[in-house]
This record gives sequence, structure tokens and C-alpha cells, in this order.
Amino acid sequence: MSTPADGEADPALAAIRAIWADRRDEVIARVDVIEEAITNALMGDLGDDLRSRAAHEAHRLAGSAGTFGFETASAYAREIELGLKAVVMPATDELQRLAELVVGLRHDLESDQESGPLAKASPTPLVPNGHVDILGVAIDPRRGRRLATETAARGLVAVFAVDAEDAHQALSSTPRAGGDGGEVAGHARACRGESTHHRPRRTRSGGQSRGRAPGRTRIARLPEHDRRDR
Amino acid sequence: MTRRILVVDDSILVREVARAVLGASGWTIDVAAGGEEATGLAAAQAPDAILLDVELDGIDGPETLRRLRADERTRDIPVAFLTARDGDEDRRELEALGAVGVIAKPVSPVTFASHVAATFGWAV
Repeated sequence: MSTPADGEADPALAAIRAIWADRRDEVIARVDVIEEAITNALMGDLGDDLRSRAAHEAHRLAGSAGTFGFETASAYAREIELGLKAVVMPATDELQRLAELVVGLRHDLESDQESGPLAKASPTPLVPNGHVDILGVAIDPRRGRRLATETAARGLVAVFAVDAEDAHQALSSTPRAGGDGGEVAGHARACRGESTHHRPRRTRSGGQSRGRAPGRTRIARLPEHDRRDR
Repeated sequence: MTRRILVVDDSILVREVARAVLGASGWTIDVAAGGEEATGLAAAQAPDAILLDVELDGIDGPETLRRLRADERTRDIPVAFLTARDGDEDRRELEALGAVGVIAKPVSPVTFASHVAATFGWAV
């Protein structure tokens, strides 16, 4: 039986690489659905349909990513699937953990360019970045969603805006210290005249995720018309 | 001996990989994306074995197996499940439905053919 190291001489592995090259973008695009779901969940605004679709995509990614040798991505996708299929919506700290996994999932899939998917070795760890504020202006909606998930995973503060005026308004209205994700989400919605009746769950008492203080994540989300632009 | 295997999975990636990897082992590979298509192909082509995903769009893997077992044309075709649910209890439940074995997903391209051969008791 062959090994990844001698894959170039193996017609089956060469075929696998060809399939991956052909399907790579399609596979990675599935992460978008999961990102959107986790981001919405962090905002307390995840509907059943998107949750179900994201769980399904995570399930499929767990199978297909592993088949191509992305063992880390496969394991992350599997954990995300289980989280999204949980009977009770995960609490905020658990959602942050899922957001971390989404970042890792995408990172693992996108880091295939140098050596090919079947030659991948160890997973690349996520490195917490500490306290950083991020302002995204005139940002592409897809990149905005991705950044929102990444910032959530790292407990960072992020504000995304479609133009400078929107950015100024968001910054002037978004608190820079204290308050949990729900409060900041409320500010973000208020800035944009959105409904505020959906709010994320409070972080469970004593439940912290990987050493970060619960409730530090704050995301100002993209306007609805941009979020639908997929 | 040339074997014919029907691979049933709703992921085109898994189907394509199965076709490439198992086909490279000299087996003839047919694929189906769902249970309805699988039961039709199985009846028409009488494969030597079926690899059946558990979670499928439409009728799922266990229901597909029940239908295969209910059809005299397909009731004796050995079926193995492909699934990420490969804990001991899951395996027992799936094998109790009449599957000859369970192959854990994700499948590794490197070991997929040997797992299939071992599951169905074929010499590699």
C-alpha cells in the first residue's frame, strides 16, 4: 500500500490531487455557510434553517475533508456539526469555541497550496492575539463574515462598516470596554435601525473558553443587504 | 477477479474519490447519490458489494438497506455502511440492520481499498 510520501507515483493519489484541485473552491465555499451560522448565533440571530444547513455542510465537510487528508479540518468540522445539532443552542462561550473551530477549519483547508492535501502533516495551531480592536471599512461582505468569525474566535473587538460614515457612526456608538456580546450587538443593531429583540445568550457562569474572559467578543455586523450578497 | 462495487454517498467528492481509489484497485465502481438511485442501480447491475453512506438526502442509509433486503434481486448483496458514526454501539446498530460491516468516515485514500477488501472478505 502506498503512502502520501510516494503519492506522485501512485495513480490513485494523483487522481485524488486532481479531484481536490478541481473541487477545492467548492469545498471551501461550504465553510461560508458555517461561518454565517456561527456569526449569526453569536449575534443571537441564528434561524433553524441556516442552523440545519450549516450542520449539514459541517457533516459533509467532515467526510470530504478527511477523505482528502485534511484530518484536522475533518475533526473540526465534526465538532462543529455536533455543536450545531445540539438540542439546546450552545451558550456564548461554546459558540466562541465553535467560531475557533471554523477559523481552524478554513485555515487547514486553505493551507494546502505548498505541499498538497495528502501531504499535510500537523495542524497549525490558532494563536490568540490578545486585545486588538479591528475596524473594517468598505469591506467585502464575505470577508466581513470571515473576519467576524475570526475575531469572535479570538475574543477581539471588531466593527465592520460599508463606508467611512457608517464606520464613524459605529465607532461612536460602540462601547470599547465592558458589556457582553449581546449589549454590543444591541448597539450595532441600534446604529443600523435594526430590531433588537434577538439577543445572544449570556455566557454561562464560570464557563470560559480557552482562557478568554467570556463576553469580550463584540461584533458589529454587516447590513442585511450585504449579508445576503453571497 | 473483477469486482463491481456500488458506492452510495451524497457527497460528490466521496463518490469521485471512491471511483478513483477503488477503481485503481481494479474494481469497477458505480456511484449513486441517494437511496432511490442506489436501489435502482443495485437491482439493474447486481454489484458484488455496496458501500452505503448512513446520512443521505431523501431516504437514508438504513432505509435504503431495508429496501435492498426487501427486494429479492438485491437482498443477498453484501452491504457495508460508510459513516462517521463508528462507535461500538453505532456499529452494532448498523450491523443489526444486516450490514456486513462499517467503514469509518472520513475514509483515507491510502487505506480505503484495503478496508473495503477486508470488510467484504476479499483478497487484495
